Amino acid sequence: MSASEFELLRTVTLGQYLPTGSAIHRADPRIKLLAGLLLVVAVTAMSSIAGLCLSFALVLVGFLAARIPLGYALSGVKPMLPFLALLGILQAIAIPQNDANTTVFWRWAFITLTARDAVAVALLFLKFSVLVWGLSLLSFTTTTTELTHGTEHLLRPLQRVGLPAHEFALTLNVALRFVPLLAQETERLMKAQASRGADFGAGRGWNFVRRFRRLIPLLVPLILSTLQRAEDLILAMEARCYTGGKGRTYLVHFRARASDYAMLALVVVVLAAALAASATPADALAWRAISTLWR
Amino acid sequence: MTEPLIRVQNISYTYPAGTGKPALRDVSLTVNPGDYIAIVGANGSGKSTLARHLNALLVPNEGEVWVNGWNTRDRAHIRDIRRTVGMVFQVPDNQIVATIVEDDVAFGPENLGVPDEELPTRVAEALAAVGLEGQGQRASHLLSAGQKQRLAIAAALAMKPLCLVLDEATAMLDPAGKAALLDILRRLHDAGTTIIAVTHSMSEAAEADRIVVLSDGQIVAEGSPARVFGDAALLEQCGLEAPPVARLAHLLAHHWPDFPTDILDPEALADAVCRFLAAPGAVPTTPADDVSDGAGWPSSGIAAQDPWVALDNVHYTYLQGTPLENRALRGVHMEVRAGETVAIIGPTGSGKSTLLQHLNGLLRPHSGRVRVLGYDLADPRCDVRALRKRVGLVFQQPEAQLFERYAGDDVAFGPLMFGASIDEARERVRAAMNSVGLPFEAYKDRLTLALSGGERRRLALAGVLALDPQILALDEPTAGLDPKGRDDLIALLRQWRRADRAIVFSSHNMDDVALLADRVYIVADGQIAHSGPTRQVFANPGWLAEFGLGLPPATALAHTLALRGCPVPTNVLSLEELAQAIVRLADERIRV
Amino acid sequence: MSTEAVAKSTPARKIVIAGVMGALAVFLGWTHLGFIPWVAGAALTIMHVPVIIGAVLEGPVVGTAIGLIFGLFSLLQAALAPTGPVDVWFQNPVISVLPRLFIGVVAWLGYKALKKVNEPLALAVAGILGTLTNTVLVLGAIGLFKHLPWSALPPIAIANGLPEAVLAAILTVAVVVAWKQIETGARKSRM
Repeated sequence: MSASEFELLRTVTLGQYLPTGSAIHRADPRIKLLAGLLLVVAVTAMSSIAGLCLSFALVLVGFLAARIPLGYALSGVKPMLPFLALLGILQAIAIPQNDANTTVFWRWAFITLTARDAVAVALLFLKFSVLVWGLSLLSFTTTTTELTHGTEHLLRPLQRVGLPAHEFALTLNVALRFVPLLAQETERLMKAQASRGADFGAGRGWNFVRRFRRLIPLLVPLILSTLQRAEDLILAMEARCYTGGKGRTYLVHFRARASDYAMLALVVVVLAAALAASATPADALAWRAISTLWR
Repeated sequence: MTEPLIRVQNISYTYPAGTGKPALRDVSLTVNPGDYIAIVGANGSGKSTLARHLNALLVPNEGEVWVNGWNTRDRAHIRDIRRTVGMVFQVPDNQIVATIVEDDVAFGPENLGVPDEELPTRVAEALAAVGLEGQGQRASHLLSAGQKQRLAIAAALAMKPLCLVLDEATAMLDPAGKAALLDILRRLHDAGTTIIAVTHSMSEAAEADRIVVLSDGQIVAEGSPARVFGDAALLEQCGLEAPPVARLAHLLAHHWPDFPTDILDPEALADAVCRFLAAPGAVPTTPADDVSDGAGWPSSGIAAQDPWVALDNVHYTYLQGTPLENRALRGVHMEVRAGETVAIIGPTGSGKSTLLQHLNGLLRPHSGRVRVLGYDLADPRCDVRALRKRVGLVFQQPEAQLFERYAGDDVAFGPLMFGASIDEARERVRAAMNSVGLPFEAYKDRLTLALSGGERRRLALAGVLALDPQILALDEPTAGLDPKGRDDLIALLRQWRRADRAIVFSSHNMDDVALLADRVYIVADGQIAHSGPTRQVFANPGWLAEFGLGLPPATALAHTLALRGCPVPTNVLSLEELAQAIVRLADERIRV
Repeated sequence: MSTEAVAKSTPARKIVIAGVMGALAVFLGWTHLGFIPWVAGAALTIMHVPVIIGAVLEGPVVGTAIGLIFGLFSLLQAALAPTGPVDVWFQNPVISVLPRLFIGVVAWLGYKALKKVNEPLALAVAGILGTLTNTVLVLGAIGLFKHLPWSALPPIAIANGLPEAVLAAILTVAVVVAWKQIETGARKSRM
């Protein structure tokens, strides 16, 4: 049934807040943001299986504490599994490992699957899972408003060195305000054009010129009406005495409790340990063990 | 003598990016504390430009504006000026800054540097003043249009202004939303706030103590509502029209030259009518005959045929199976026959737009049947594109959907999409543009975005008429138009009607319905609450009041007269009909 | 249409234009409206066009801010709602965020240099330069992290980057010419 041909757009909601009222939900959003940021940076820099496993355990503990069903997080990873498999195969084909030290698991024509490949794929998978689960945890436990306020308050100290923290947070807020408006507007435009004979369903596939020519009547009025709305909003902000971040006061204030700091300390300690694990030979031992087992 | 709050002295202003034509020419105005002023004028008369000078959003090219003793040129006092004069704009969505109600109200005071500990009180007080108490944590985009405008007022009030300027703030609201907003304004005014309302709705202007009429960038009249509305010729010249009471008084003055024309209050009008009726004759004993539909559109002759549109127990739910699920239609039955004009009325969010979108298959019923011109929408093989060629749908504010650079190309989109050759398309475009009063040769090469608001709306209508549809469906066709634009559009639709065509439209404006529709459906909460021939529906004020809808002005006046014992028929639809009925009544009495 | 009352570039104007154009980039990505299927399962994107338009209208700072929103969104989308194998690479901010910060600056420079000569031409050039900045820097970062061998990059740059540049130029010109009501020689409709 094509009843919802144009309705897809209505589901556009950024953020996936899932209120369970846990301690993590109630924690200071600045602390949560900071923890999330540390996790992304640390995991991006990490290249050891042991370290990633440790980080993964940390995120799992977070999920349990937040009382978010693990199924929610799993559903985010599932669609990626086939792609990861594909990536593993690509790795085996594209980057041949002519390293004599490594164990060859399987060889067919020019494809060789070595232990090194297996470790590389495992690393990729772990890294990916930690990032997905970590950021999901943040978005499950923090509303978008808390996120923008949190960003602003977190970055406020940096304002002294010229970083436009308030401006960026307000920009994000305006962006979040406009996404649902854009969705409504696009739905209206698509419907109006379908009423005049435009056919959005058909013509998928190769004919990209036709696809693009169909996008023009949609995007041009969408952008123009968005700019028109922007002019209105600028006036409304000027009328309400907006002149930049200087001298502003704030309705929303965050106060970090001892438990919040404890949480942050835990995250820092675990991530530091995980990073340290990359420096130890634990990984080398791990994949030597795998190779031995294979033989 | 109190010091004026705002003094506008001989200002002129020309937009830098515009055509070079001045938007304001030598305008002067004095606003005293506690005033309630309406600034009226047609679209493009300069009234919004004037409003924007009142809190230094614009600074005049010539002349001065003083607010509370500060000159708006003085950038040092810009905050003081804007804090003193708060602004509310036309489009509800476009003036909300924050995603959460509370944050939006706090935005102004935060900018002013109001101490942190005072902010929560300010927010709570402002929300309470507009009846949004306890809603501070709601997502602002999920409010109704009326609530959004109230939020905008709260956001201005949180800055504790002495004066509130509303720029067409009610233009996008339904009758109930409008009434609620006017009520808030009245209460604020009673509490001492100065109100300046920019509007082209004359019945709203009648709320004010003083009316300023702008035309072509100049003030052409200023005075009490009674004085300004007494000058019908002037209003017409400015593309405006007097409120219904004044118009009826003028119509009656044609018959009775000494009938007073400076009346604004319906009760006072009833007094006058009774006085004129009582003077020559005795009180008749028979009640007035109802007006018959003799001169109306001939719909009875075709009624025997199958209906062109038949909705049978139609249900439709948005976002089915999600937390945001919204049951928009819940068992709608409806019929439209050839030659008919059918109006759909109801509060915002009642399902009118959803219903209209079923007529050309943009939406298909989740259950129930929709048959349009022989197409069955429940059938998955139904060729909706072929249907869309025969049922033209014009959306709300269609002018926002124009996308081609040149007017002619935009109208051609439909015919070309349906496979017409360039020559065929040109003929269709020519006919459609001529029929909406935008002569093809003169307008085809005009830049779409440089046309006026009214022209753009008619161009968008031409884009649908170019498909030569059998059924024309329109969502709020007159919303946001000034009186002249509205009259033009209604005349155009009346002209388009034929025995082999049908019109279905939704509207918040009961006068549109009275002037156009043969039959009316009242939609509420996804269901048809009432339906019937237009006269019959408007003869039941209770049906409408239930949903905050109100009567067309002529019908409302007839009811007032009837209540005062003046035996006029209560099912009149236009002021002309009502005037004729009153005159006829007088003639009968003379004969008696 | 652009009858902006506050002509000067105030903080409010900068923030709102950056916000709405950032929202547009996010929206085009989230709904996949900003992707056009191209050969061999690849897709052309026009998600970066709001960055270019914002930069042309309000300057390099606004352009960079929109680029930052665009970049952060691709990072988050790659991490939270991945749809393809390439998303794994985009979980690295050096690939997803950093290159996007330069789109606006380069587009603005191109526009500014040619604006006096011919404005529509300047807009087209801004569209092309902005797109190429995106393509070259993103692919460069991918090469830097050895996700793909360097030799594989030029063909991708040509196959994706060039058509994207053309699409971006068309859109930028169409939108900005209409918005600023710039006169372009031929005042004729096809009718």
